Amino acid sequence: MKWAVVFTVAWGLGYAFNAASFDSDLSWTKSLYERKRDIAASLEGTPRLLFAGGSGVHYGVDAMQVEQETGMPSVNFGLHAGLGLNAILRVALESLRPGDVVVAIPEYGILQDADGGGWLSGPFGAAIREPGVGGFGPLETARETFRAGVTNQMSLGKGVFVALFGASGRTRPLADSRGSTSVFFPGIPVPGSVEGRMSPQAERRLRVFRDEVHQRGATLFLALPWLLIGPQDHESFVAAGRYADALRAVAPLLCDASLNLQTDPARFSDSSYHLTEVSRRARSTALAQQIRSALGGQQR
Amino acid sequence: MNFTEFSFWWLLAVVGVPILLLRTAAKRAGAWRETFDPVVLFVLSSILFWSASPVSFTIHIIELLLNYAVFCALPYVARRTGYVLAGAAIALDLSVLAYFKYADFLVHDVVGLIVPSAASAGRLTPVAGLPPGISFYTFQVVAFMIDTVRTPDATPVALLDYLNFASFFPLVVAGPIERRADLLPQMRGFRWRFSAGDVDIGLRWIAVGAFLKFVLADNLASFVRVANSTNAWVVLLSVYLFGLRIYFDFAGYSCIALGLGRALGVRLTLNFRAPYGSRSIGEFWRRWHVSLSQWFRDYVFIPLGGSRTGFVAVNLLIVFVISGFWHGAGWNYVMWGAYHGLLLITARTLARRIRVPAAVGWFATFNAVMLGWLLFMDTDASRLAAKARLLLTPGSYSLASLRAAGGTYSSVEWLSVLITVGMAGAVLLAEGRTSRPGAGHPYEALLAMPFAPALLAASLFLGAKTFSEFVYFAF
Repeated sequence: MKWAVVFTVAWGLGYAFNAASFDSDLSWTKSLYERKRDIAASLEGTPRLLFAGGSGVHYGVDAMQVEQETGMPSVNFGLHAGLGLNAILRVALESLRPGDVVVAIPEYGILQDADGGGWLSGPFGAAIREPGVGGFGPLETARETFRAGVTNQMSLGKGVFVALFGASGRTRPLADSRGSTSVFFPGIPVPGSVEGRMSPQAERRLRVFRDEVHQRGATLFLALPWLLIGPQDHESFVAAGRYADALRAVAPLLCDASLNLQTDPARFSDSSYHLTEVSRRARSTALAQQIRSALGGQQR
Repeated sequence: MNFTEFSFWWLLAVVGVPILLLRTAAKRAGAWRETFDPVVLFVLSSILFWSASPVSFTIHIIELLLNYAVFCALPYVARRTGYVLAGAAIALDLSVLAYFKYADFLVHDVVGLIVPSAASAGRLTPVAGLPPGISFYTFQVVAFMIDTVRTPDATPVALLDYLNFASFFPLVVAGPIERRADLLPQMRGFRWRFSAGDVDIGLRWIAVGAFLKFVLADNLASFVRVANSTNAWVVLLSVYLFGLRIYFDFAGYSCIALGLGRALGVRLTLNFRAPYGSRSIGEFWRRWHVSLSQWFRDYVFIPLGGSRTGFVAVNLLIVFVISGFWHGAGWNYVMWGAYHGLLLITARTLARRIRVPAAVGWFATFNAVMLGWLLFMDTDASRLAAKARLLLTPGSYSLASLRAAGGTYSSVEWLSVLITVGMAGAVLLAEGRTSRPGAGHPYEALLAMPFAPALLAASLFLGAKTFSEFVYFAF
């Protein structure tokens, strides 16, 4: 009995801490989610384009530019890869309307992940008052609900700092009227790499997501993210090919022959997934062309 | 069957609770016999193992059935034939282990040394990857067979008891490697009792294990920079952090295993006895991964002649090289084993000539063990060589490189490193205080009230952002 009490009290305190969103990553993601959800809700016109993914989408797709180039109202629903695939797809689904086109561009790490949840998914559920968000079956829902009351040393440390010194640990996410970032952080990105293959869980989740999208009368496209890799990294190219094949088996895939792998660090800002403003323009133009072409193909 | 995964505890609850409720209902209706209890235990262990890896579970069960068949045949054959049969069973067990764990290494890295074409051939991937726990349960069933041949016991062993002995879910994946004399009697009389005392102590062990794993090991893991081979300070810090991490990782797992066993009324071997408080390398190996060290002592070192031959040093070196190889299929693990063998030989030689104060002995042992983790930590041979060269070059330890090392982590991360290392140090001190002769076991202070519940709460608050795999799961 005493163990149940200890566990429940500790979990409850953790839940309260997460619900208060003291952690800057969590508060950033929560505010970003709320802003993008509101943008999607208020966006008129049909069909709309909705881009879903982690911060690679937030920093890598200019929804306004895509809108201008395709003529389709667009919203950037890129959030944080720490949410994991399940939560990212779940919150994107909530904003879909019949006739919409959703382009999911998940980062490789969340496709490789075996359980579909991320370190941020549980706390995010507490923060938006939906513990278990992204749960995909009883096990995953129970796991995400449990994680809603779990915090970590880094988050707790930052929370205590905020409480002691009164500083605001909550950074406001800067996003434009279509949800894309309006600020770019300069930096020297370390090249990333593509490893392994898409997990069976991710494949299963994407297939279910495709069916859910179709049930709502919408269309699903998948795309590969732009990723900075080392100049001689042939292994990443081979691995990206495996991911591309697996994604194509789920839904039409938007990418070029390079599999969107880049070797020029000047195109990236503070991470191997985050683009500079200039390269984001190039990326968005390419994406708009691919969408037009894919939609044209479907109509034919 | 990974204690860090929510799915393990979920499955344990989802399968275990209904089974036990059914048992209770059947018992009340008078339809339950206590002899059903071991069946339920085996079913639960099997479901948990199957869910982790169906192929591995199948291999495991086939191995156990073959071993049991040989074991049953032993009383009916001549002694010499029995030796041959037991030897064949052991050879089969070790061959299965060799195929899954060492085939690729033997072809590429051993044969490849002589035949260059073998080194460049495609990787050999076993049909099921490395089955979880194969290194541990193989040693357990081999020990069972050897013990049976050495000291024939007329008492028959029921198949179910043997299966429970080798498949008991808390230990099947990463030990402790239990002996026939310790575990089999408990499996023979296994009953689901759930005494309040056992459950309470079991939960205390689980709380301590969770703290060691989630708070200490996982946070430390996030600060280890294996890829850095250019800054001596960073390499050195990573080696020490890794040394702490691997201990808390495996000790944490072992405590959880021990707690799960205890909650079910089964007492398992304490695998770690405050090894970092050791004052000699010999003492370290009596306290580190106790069940494995004893296995190598009883089944390799003593059969080689032990300390009673003129080749003690050679025997020790052989044992430690094999022990290193058991840990992983790579030259770095072999070197790590040889390093410890040479350390032990040197320490034994010096101990005959000089006596050092306890504090000096502890300091030398602690640092020698920590530096040895360099060999264990890095599986990339060229990077390992670069790190060794760097650490052996006095000029690497400049103030400029120290300043550069400061940029390895952000200021928040540095604070987290200090807090985690501080907590790790406090745990090591608490272990050391109770590990002296007659002072009980090393975890007594941590298991005491109210520390154990506080550690459980801390595990929910102070873990790392992401869980790290158990290091020993790779072995």
